[in-house]
Amino acid sequence: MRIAPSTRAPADHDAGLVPMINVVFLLLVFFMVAGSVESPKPFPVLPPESSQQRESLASRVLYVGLDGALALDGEAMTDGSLAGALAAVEGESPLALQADAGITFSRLREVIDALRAAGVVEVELLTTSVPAAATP
Amino acid sequence: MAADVRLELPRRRRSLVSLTPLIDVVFILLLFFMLTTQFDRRQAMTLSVPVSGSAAVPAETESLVLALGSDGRVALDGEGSVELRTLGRQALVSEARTLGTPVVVVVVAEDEVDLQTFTRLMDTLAALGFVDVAVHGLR
Repeated sequence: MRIAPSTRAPADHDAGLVPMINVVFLLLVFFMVAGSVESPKPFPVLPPESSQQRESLASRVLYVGLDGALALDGEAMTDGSLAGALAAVEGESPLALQADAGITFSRLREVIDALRAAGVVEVELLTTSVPAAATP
Repeated sequence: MAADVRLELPRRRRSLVSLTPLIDVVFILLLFFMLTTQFDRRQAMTLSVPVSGSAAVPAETESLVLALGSDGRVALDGEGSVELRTLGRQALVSEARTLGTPVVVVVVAEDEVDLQTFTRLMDTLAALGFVDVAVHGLR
């Protein structure tokens, strides 16, 4: 008994792609679930290191650069224009401050004063974890 | 019978939709998510901004005033300054920790103190177990 060699139909070449699609779908789901999409930073900011590892609850981020520049929602801000921008959206969630580790305390106080004038009650300072080698 | 028996497999039905465009789209999505996702967890430290007038301090609380200098040294209640890492070994601090009454730590920072130094002091105070920390100028 002879079995004729199977002659693959031209349309069948898609079948070889199925395992690859499976893998690509898995990767896609992984990146969608494990990561979080964030808008790019308006300027480079190096946040201070902290050992307090509470997760951030804030949804809006105010960037404070090393030179003291402010940016909210991708737009450059001044201390004066902050109030208007923050009053536009009423929200109960705290505001996160992504400030550079090198800014002075007086600049931090100015920003906090501006935020208080804008009616912000809760501010959290975003930090990074201390590198494992640096912990005493 | 010497005739060959031929086994014909049923011909696979030609699929209506080709997979190639699907893969194209999925690859584009994959690239988008790979390039835009960030994996670092955002961690934060609370800076309370109380509305003025609401900060009523209970009468029977002890307070401990710490002055943070721009060199990273801490002066306790106006006394001599110490390194941040030896803060927990100071008599005033350990005394305050063993007191029964709640202790309010008041931090007074110089203008030139950078944020990293300030954060380090807040970390140290949290590690020492002080819950109520008031920062002069922020409240």
